Amino acid sequence: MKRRRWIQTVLAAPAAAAAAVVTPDEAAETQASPRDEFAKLEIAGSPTGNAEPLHVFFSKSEYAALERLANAILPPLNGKPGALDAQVPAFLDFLLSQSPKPRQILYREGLARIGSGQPIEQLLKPLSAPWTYHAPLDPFAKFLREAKQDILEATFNSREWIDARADRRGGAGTYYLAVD
Amino acid sequence: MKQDHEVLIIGSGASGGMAAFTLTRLGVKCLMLDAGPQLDFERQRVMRNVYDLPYRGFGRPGRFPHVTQASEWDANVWLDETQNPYSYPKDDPYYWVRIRMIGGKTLKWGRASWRLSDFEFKGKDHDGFGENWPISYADLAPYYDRAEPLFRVAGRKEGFAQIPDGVFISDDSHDPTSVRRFLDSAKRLGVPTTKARRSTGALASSVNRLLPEALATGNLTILPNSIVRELTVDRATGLVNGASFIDRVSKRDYHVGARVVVLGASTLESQRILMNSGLGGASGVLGHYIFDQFYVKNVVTAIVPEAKGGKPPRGLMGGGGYIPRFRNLKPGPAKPFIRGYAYDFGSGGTPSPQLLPSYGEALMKDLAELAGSGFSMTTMGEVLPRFENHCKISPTLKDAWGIPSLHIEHKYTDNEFAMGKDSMNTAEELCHGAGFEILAKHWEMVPPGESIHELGGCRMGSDPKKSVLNAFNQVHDVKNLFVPDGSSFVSGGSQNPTLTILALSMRASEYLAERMKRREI
Repeated sequence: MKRRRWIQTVLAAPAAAAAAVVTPDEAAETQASPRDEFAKLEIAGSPTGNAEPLHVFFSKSEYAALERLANAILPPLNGKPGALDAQVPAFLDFLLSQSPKPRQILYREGLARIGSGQPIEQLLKPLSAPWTYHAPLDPFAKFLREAKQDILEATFNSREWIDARADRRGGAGTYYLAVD
Repeated sequence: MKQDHEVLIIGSGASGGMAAFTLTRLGVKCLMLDAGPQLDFERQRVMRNVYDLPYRGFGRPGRFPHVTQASEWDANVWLDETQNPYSYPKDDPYYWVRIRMIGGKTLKWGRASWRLSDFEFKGKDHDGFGENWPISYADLAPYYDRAEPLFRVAGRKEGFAQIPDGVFISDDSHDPTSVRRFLDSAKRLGVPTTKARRSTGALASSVNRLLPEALATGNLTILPNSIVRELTVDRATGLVNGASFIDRVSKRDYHVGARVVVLGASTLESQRILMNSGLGGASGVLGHYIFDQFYVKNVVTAIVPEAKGGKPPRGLMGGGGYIPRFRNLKPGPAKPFIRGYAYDFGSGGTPSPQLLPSYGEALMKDLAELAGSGFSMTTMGEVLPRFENHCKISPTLKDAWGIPSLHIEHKYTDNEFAMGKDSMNTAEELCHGAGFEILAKHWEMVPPGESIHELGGCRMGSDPKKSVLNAFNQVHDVKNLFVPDGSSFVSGGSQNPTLTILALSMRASEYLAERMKRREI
């Protein structure tokens, strides 16, 4: 509002209203009140780091076996976080809860073997076999192959792993929002 | 009020986009329908950290059972399979990879831009198999000449008959030492090599190379979210007179009238529309002779020994190239297969941890040792068009809009398997010749369709009893209906097909505009 028009408006105001008259500076402040605008708030982007995920898929013993396996596949090394630091078991619990049934069964049966009490080195021997394109016929060897890939990828894509990299490369990319 | 348009174009990808580009610049008024929305590159692409994605980069499990190309990053670009189902025999999966957005699959294509040659156009003359195209390379060459600059194709002229040279941005880039060693090995074995030929630029799509110029003429209207149910026919003349379509969002039905229809909805989708419309079936071959190109991804993964240790010497690694078809070009010792295959190859990168037989500390040491030392090759082979490989309308399956879906049957046969094996053995020999160590090799093909090079089924031909389209992509028995997309291919070679689709669509559209001008259509 131009000053001249503002003065005219004020002069024309009835006495009762005049009691509420404010100065131009005060008026400007009132107009700029955040309550009158579409506010952009600083909010957390995701629950990560602000809340603990619940375990919804694996049983206690399966979860313990998954922690054992994850730590064997990728332990903390040379100051870099391991799979447990990257909270991989909690993530895989979530991922497997939504995975197709055959994959859920593969994991459950595989983790039952991992939790059987045998030495982990003995259990993981199939991972030392030369790679072949065809998935192994033995379900446990197949499970180990899939779990190795999942544990590595879940670790490499974690905030903990990326933050620990000197160059912080590999963390960001272009994401396509849903189009309607 | 009834709306009649001169030309109705269905689809906005390579074929539809080029049809719009060509026709509108010749003064023809066009309406374009596309089944999907427009992607706003400014507003709908954002930077994200992988750990902030809901599934940490894995993507929602089961969302894309047939789209191995989809990642969590771009999941919203690929077609939702639950809304758009299709079927195949239980033991013969077919991966139908689709995008429904303005621009179609040109939003995500690999950009490899190779010309076909008379080894494809006149393939039957070389080995007696299948049918020749009704056109020769000389017929299409002038259109390749104009399509390549539009898509700013970079490459190197070589004089190879099987991949004719074109109008390229010259690629004279230096080859790193590892690539030079590989090229020398290929030369010793008599295997040709060249630089990749690719469309260049930040985006090389119908949405930035074709549609803006078409819109600028004032002769094009684009309707997004318009899912074509069927083409409609004037019963008196037998000609098409428009299309019925459904608004994707509201599900409201519409009809649009047109003097001519150009169907460029993509290879399989165009056949689905034809079949649902009861059109193009006079010869009995519509839907048959579908094929693609088989891929053996990472047929060989090798290590460049001098690059080991985690810090490859400067100038050793990086770069890559292409090996065009080299089998069965000249009479010689019989091979256990006809036709041939090509390779992409690349130097650099770290082999996948899956390939390394270790875990824990040993695996991390292996990865550090091999960082940046990888060399890999991928085979792309010709798939023979066979009558048995076909698609048809499913008697029971419909999409979310109630439109009958496709059932697809496609198998590879001994000819492709023999090629795959030969490609693995040759790749190994090439790498050994370069002094590389083989880390892994195989010849397992990805399922049919996964290469996203699905072709044929509505093929061109001189004989209306053996083909659906004539030499100008015009339906033999419906003269105002043109199908200039990948479904029109008679054979496909091992070259990526998009450049040929662009050239075919430009040629068909110029023919159409000329006939319209003479009032012959």
